[in-house]
Amino acid sequence: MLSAREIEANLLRTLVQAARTGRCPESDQEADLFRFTAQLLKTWHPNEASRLDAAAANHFAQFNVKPRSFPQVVSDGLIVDVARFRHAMEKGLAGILKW
Amino acid sequence: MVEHIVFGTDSDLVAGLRKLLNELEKRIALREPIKMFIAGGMAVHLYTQARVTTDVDAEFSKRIHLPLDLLIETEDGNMLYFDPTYNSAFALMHEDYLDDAIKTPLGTEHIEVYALSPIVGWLRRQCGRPSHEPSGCVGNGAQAPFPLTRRRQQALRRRRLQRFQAQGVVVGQRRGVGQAGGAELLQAVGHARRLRR
Repeated sequence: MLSAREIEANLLRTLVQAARTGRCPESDQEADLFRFTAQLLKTWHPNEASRLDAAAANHFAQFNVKPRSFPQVVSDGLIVDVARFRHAMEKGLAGILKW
Repeated sequence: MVEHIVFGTDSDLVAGLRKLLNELEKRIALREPIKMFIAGGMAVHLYTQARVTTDVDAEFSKRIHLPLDLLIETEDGNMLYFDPTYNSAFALMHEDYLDDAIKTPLGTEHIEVYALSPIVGWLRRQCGRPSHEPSGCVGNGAQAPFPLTRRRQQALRRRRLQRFQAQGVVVGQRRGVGQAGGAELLQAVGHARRLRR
């Protein structure tokens, strides 16, 4: 079983890669995470944010799914600490995935 | 004639901030008044309506627990949350920055909301941020006006003094730390160097 740190590291790796490539989300949950992450990155990384947001929007339109609201993403436990997550994403986009 | 600062309070983001404040008041069950001092992108937005932000950098006049899961979604689909990692001690702040903060028409029954003075915001930006600052920031690339130069000197002097004090150097003779003169500073520098040896 993976530890919390490993789960977090995997999540960050996935999202950083998606932000760079603009790949499509593989599930509704991942699309929610893309949408959430795009919000956090839009000030300092607008290109990556728009890639994630577009990928999430495509997914929701294609599968006719209603996205979770941002508070719901947190209350459902997809993201626990928003500030930490944002910091980690910004570090990840700068090429630092461990600290 | 001096014109009062008019804060932009009809944007989607400000409506979101109101919602966030109401939610905070409800979640921590506030019973007494508290002051909140906004810095960062949200303060810039209140002054200029230009920049959009997701995190609210704020400090409070009393110690409160900011719930980690407190965030809201605005009508236009923007996210807003309090940044619990914000700390005014890391930026270059003038010693009067809280006194100079300007009251905004936002707020709730128990929370009074102030925005840091634009000069303080400019100072923070100049001394702590990388050069690839997003557009719409206070004083981005602008020439420092005279009062700012004076305040920056005061703030830098205070920071130097704090460093000396942290090293165990006593400066001045029971004067305010911000009032110490150049001679005292030089004396303190010499003393600090001697201590290091």
